Amino acid sequence: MSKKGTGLGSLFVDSDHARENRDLRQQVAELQTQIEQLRGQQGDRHNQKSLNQLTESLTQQLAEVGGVHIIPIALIDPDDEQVRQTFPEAVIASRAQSLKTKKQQTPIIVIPQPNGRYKLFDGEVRWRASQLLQWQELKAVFLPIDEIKSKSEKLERQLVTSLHSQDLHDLDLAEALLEITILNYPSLKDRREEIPKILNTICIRLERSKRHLEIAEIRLSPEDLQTQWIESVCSSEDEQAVLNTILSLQLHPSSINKNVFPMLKLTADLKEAVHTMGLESGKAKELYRLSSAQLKLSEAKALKVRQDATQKVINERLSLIQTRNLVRNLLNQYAKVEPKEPTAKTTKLIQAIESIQTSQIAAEDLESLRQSLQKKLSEIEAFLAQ
Amino acid sequence: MRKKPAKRQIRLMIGSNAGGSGKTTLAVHLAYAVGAMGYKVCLVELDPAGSLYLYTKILNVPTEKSTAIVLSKEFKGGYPLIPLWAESVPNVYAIQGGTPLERSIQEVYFAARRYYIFDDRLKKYPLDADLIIFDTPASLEPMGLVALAASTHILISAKPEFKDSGGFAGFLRWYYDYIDELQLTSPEPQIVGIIPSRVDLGSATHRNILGLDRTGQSRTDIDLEETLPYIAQTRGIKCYPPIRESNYFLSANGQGFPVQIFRPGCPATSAFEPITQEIINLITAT
Repeated sequence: MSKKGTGLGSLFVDSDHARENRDLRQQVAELQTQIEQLRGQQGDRHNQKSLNQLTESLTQQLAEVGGVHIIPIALIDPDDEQVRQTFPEAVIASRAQSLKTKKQQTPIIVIPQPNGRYKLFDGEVRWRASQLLQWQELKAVFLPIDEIKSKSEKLERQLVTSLHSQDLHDLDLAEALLEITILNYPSLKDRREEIPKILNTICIRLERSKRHLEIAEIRLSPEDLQTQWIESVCSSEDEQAVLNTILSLQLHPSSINKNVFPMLKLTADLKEAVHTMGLESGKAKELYRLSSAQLKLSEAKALKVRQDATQKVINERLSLIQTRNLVRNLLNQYAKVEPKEPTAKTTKLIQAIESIQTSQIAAEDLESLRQSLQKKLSEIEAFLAQ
Repeated sequence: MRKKPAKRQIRLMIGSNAGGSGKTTLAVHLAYAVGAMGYKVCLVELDPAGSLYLYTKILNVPTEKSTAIVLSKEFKGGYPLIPLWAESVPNVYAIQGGTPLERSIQEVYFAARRYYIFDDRLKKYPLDADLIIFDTPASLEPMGLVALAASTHILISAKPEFKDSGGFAGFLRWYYDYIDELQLTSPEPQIVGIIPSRVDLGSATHRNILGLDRTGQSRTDIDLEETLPYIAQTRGIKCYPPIRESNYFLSANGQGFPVQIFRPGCPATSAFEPITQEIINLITAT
């Protein structure tokens, strides 16, 4: 199915020209200032020649879109530590198509390495797409190495960029949060899987004490106020570490606890579907219910059921509600859940009992009725307790 | 409540080239949100057909209490500030435009300094505010230029529709052309970003232009490079999370309150958090 295009890009031709013109005008103004300064300094004929040459090369620089390099794809390495790990094949293929027709429009960002290679900072989709097309080179700009002060700062920067552009899958966000928390608080390094539990404890405590209502305001508060609040609601340093990481990224702890961290529990096949096919969080959580325990099947059989269901959801583009129905039907089918409504006979009995007009019965009859019902009630309770 | 001290005055123009794009709603809610964090905010209405009267509750503002007086030659520094929502926030004021501005629009052309008049006023008679927000009409001439010449920053509001997107492109072009023509340098007003506004995820057009599905998640069946966020970002303009249209806005509007006062805690209120934080960062950055 061909990609839908909005045609929006074509609307921006004029404004792009306006911006380029403006940039060029600025560059010209700067160069002119430089040249005039030089002219003011150099008076005699000797230096006139070199001044002319300088002017020429400066003019040449003006013609370039400053700072774009062409580097061989073979020298580019992906960033394994980067935040975004979800690259649906569809997106890559689409980008390849776009690259093929429109060529590379924006340079990727790479970090020159000491060994002469380049590490990707941004542009993995284009990098992968260009390999599909068997290209040899890509246009790139360089990010100087001292700009990246620390691994955690780099990760945080990528995360914040992705967060604001809202294209980060909940699963990637969950993984990234764990990474950043551990980077900032190395004491948690060996207890990675505990972090979601720690957050859950915090959230339960906040809700019990009704302090979860304070989160909205504290998210936007300055750092010192945040720190004070965190200390007041946490009962251990580990808790402070987890909460601090989340709040400093302006994320909502309850939302992370409810929607994001649960993605970590997904089975490998579901995580794979998320990464390669961009399966949405809500649907992934539904499909997760198709577990061996719930389906009353072996792990291998449950996996097959789940994979088939996942495939169906993706191929037929099922909505969240449709996915939910599919899962429920499968659960009913395999777990043979008893229908919840009572049988017709029981319904009639219940109706008869409920229709008794207590006020219209004589006192001695009521007593007999009470005894009879009491006896039957005891019988029912004994039976249920078995 | 202790807060980071303001280090400078930010003057923010809410810009758009299309009517009904949510400018005033954005201006009002941002004014409240920043004011609620303890900063002094002044909302300046430069639109004679603006709807700030809904919030000031003053239907026919006289000239001497309108933005018109600030723009006139007689102005001697007493800004006609109208307190907004004084029971909820102490330091949010408005200068209402209203009908008197219609005359100002004509008079701007005859003023010696034309588009620089508001900037001149602020230089000569400082306005005590950490944040000044200019609410401008969709037709950018001349009040848009008056705001541009007086602004340090610009925030663009646009519905994710073709008309508004064309408006966004038009606005950008206007911006690039005029910051040079008016020689607004050192530094020129910065574009803070674009906020898709009045977003309805039930509309296919909105979803296509934003590249989102009905639940607000990114889609994979669409050419992402033709979506508004991508287009903005590749031009160095930050695209903020969309503000979804909500009946709360309509109701709150009618009562003259921002949703944060009208219905605190409703989903609509959190939509303004990212931009509020950014504005506060700009005000307090060392």
